[in-house]
Amino acid sequence: MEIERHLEKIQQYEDVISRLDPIEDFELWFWAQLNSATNALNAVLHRLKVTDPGPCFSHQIPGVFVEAEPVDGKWKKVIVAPGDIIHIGFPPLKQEVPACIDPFNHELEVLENFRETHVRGGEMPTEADVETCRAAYAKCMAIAYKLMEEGAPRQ
Amino acid sequence: MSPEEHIRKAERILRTVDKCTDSDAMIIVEGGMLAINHCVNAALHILGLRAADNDIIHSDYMSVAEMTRLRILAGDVLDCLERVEDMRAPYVRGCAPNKESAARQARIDIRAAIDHVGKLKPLDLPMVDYKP
Repeated sequence: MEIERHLEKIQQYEDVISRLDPIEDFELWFWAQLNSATNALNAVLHRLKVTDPGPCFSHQIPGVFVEAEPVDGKWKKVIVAPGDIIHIGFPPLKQEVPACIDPFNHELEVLENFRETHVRGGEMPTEADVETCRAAYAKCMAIAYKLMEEGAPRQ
Repeated sequence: MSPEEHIRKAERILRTVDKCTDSDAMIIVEGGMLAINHCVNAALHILGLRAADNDIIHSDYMSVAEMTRLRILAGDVLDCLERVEDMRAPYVRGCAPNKESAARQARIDIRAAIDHVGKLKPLDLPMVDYKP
């Protein structure tokens, strides 16, 4: 998806995040941050020319995409080169990912650690969990916006 | 997680979805996927098709045999999950138009899945997978 579309989605997610209660609504408050950060990652990967925006939308099965226009109301699944990724390493990329992405990935992993325990699992969030997520998300986005503005640093 | 814990989690996610408007379609569809996935896990555990410590994360990762059994025993819950999962690529990861209709369908499917799973009874039949 084009960088501008990813940026629009980030705005939409941040609007939702601002309206939800981090404790009462933790699952979707958290999930909105996760998806917003993934949009930022894809925007950065496109900006650094690691991946092309691509004409298709990513599916939850890594490597599978759907065509952007439905046919007879059905979304046709295809296998094409990414495009947008759905998680770090999913699908794997043939292209080398520059090291300047590593700090972003580290913070995204901090966020992702809450997915199995607190969203898919039954753990309830604490104020400390909320702060950990908030801080990791803020760092992700700061790194992403810097990379989008400056491009990859010269080695 | 026990079936009761899964259902409580689905109801908690539904309460958050109810705070959102249809223009928040992305997070409503995602909430649908997460909540209904909890319902499917509750169904799998109630029916004895999967142990409580062996949850699925998407319908795509069940075996064909499990999928067939679940479709026979709790097809309505599985239909809800598959409908919402199909909305993720175009409306969450993509930018297809008419996202509000996706949000409305996801809301319907979450409520339906919680309702369906609440009516399931244990099957009490042992299941085994053939492993050559």
